[in-house]
Amino acid sequence: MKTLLLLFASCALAHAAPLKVVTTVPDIADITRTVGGDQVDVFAIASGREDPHNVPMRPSAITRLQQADLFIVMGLELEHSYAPAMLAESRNQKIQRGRPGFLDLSGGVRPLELPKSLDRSEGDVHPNGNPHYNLDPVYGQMMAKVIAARLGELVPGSAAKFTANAAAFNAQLGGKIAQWRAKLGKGTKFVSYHPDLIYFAARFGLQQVGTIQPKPGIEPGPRAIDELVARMQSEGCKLIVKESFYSDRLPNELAKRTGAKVVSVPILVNGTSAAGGYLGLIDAVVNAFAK
Amino acid sequence: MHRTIPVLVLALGFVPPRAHSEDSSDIAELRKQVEALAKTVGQLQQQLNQQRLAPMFGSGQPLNGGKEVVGTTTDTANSYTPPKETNLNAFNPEISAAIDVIGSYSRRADNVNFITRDSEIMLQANVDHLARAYAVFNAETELTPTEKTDVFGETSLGIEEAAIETTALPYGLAVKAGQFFADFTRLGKVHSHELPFTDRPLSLDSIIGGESKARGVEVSWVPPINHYVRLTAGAVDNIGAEPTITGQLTTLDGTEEDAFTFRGSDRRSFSDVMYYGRAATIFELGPQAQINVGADYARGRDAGTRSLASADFKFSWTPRPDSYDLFELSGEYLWGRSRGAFTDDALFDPSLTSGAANARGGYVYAQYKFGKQWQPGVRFDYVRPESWQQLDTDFDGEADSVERGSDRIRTYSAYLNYHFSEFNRLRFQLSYVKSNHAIFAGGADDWQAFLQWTITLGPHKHPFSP
Repeated sequence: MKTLLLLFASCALAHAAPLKVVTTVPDIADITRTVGGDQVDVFAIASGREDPHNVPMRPSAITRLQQADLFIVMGLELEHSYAPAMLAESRNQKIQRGRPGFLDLSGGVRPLELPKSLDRSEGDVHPNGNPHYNLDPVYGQMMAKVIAARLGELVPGSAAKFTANAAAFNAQLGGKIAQWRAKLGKGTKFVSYHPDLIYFAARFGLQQVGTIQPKPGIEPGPRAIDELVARMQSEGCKLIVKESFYSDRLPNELAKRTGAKVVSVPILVNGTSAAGGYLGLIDAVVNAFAK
Repeated sequence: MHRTIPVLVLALGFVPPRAHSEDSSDIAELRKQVEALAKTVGQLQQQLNQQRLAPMFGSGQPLNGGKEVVGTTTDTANSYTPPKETNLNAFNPEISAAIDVIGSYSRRADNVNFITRDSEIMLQANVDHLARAYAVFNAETELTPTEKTDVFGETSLGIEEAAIETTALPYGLAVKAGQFFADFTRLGKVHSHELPFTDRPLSLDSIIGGESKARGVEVSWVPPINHYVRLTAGAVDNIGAEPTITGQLTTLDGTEEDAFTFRGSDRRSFSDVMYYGRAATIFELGPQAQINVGADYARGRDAGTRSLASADFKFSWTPRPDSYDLFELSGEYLWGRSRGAFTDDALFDPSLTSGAANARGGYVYAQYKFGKQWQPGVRFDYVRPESWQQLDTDFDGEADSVERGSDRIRTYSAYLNYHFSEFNRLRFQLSYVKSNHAIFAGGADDWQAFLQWTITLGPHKHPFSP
């Protein structure tokens, strides 16, 4: 009887303990919190303020990974500079690639900018396509749905609740998408520092004229800047979008030469103080474009 | 076709109510029609399913009772396409390579050298669901700025590392076996082209003997607690790529040999094996700074008994997370001792049959990365190595005594890195080396300059190292 009681108590305890989730970027963390509610304890490795390709490997993240039940990544090699090494050092078998405790959200994405060939002379190319899909709110809806499904598999008792939370979030996001679309001028031409706004642009019908980096991750020389100035002038591009973690030296120089306006945008949740939460992030990007 | 089926089903749904009011022949007629329709629906359904499945199974089953369907316009999805041949190369290990080119100049020796220090090839892959393995082949040329390199000297490709590592042990454990750079000291396990400066600090070079190269087995444990700690223990033959300075005897003609005898002569007993341990942890000082600390100890017997100990730290700070700026301050203190019975060449005085030599030293460096490209740094190194030397006290040209001598060598260096990309780095380093003895061609100090160009090819991976 005593053992039965103990067993019951431990089951109840196990059930009550929230699922430990580690995510690479705060965007996934925010959506997971919304979907999982008090059933999840979520930790994001990246703060959101740094370049998502250049995230410091902090030891607290290793201990979190070590005890995690679920590890969620954006995929498409966005996290290649830190996630594989940290995952290996965590030595946690539950969350290794291929296990139920590992979720790569890029499975729900139709990638853009698939490279035609793989060669380092093309810069930091991502072999499976551009990984910055988090800025497309429709993919935000996909992430909520996929996360809810996986959480439901890991905590079957709360599957319905997760699905309902995801549906509520997606409905809210759906309403916002309509507002954002109305706010953004269609066909606005812009230049960004790195090609991380292409999914956002594709969703809202904006046009990326070029990037300050002539190739992903490669800083431009004077000739590349001259070419970009010429392209901006011939295209009539009047907007330079600078991701929050890049220096404003080149964007300002470009602005001086073309008369374009420079706006700074976050590309991850918490990237700027305005970008708290996933809705806040997209709000902040839309506001920067609509300014 | 997708639309036909619901329409047919709807039509069928409306048939039965009318049938009730008619006579039996009408009913039979209707039944026939219904059956005919049901058959058509079934066939359409089957066709539809086959079309849906066709892309999944490549060619799919031919329709029409196995009759040839290639060429018909409606069934193009069922035409035969040869299945993709499996390319087993996909199971080949990852290959990466590094090339490390150095031009050096020593002012005292007035000597210019051009070397390719590292030409390295690394292979690595998972062996199965339980282990991974890697091998590093290197054609290495030693960096000796004061000595003219031999242009006709042969460079041979050697095995720098070749090890098997478990990937699926429980409780945060991992076991590594083979030849590897032991998890010992902070920069001893770093491949020379990945060092923050051109040359390995002299203290590390003389006390450890270059890289912490070893052959044996190493167990590491990251205990599942709320603070990151890595504990390592190993059993190897020896640590170091070269004999350590404390175990050397310099003969009158300047050659170096072992000062101490091998206790077990040509065998290695369990008590001769070198056992080592390292404890390392990292403390986060807020979200933008962290400090890594580690300490280690090793003891073993090869020629004489050798003990090693070290303590190290690395402080890193990102002044602004939304930039690439990075400040690093790191240092290490090292101590080594060799002790044992003298070899015949060191044995002159019957009262002095054994001895010991100590070395201690360390380095500290600071560097700052401005953005992604420029990274200047400074380094200070101090080492006080002891070794035994033959003496000729009566000037008859024959050695008649030994003495324990020591040097005090200080190295001041400044360097500047320029990162073209993550795979391509140019470095300029200027060092001033000062000793208390005339150890450089006729002098006690030397200015040395290095220009280094290093590239890596292949997969892009950053290790996690506490």
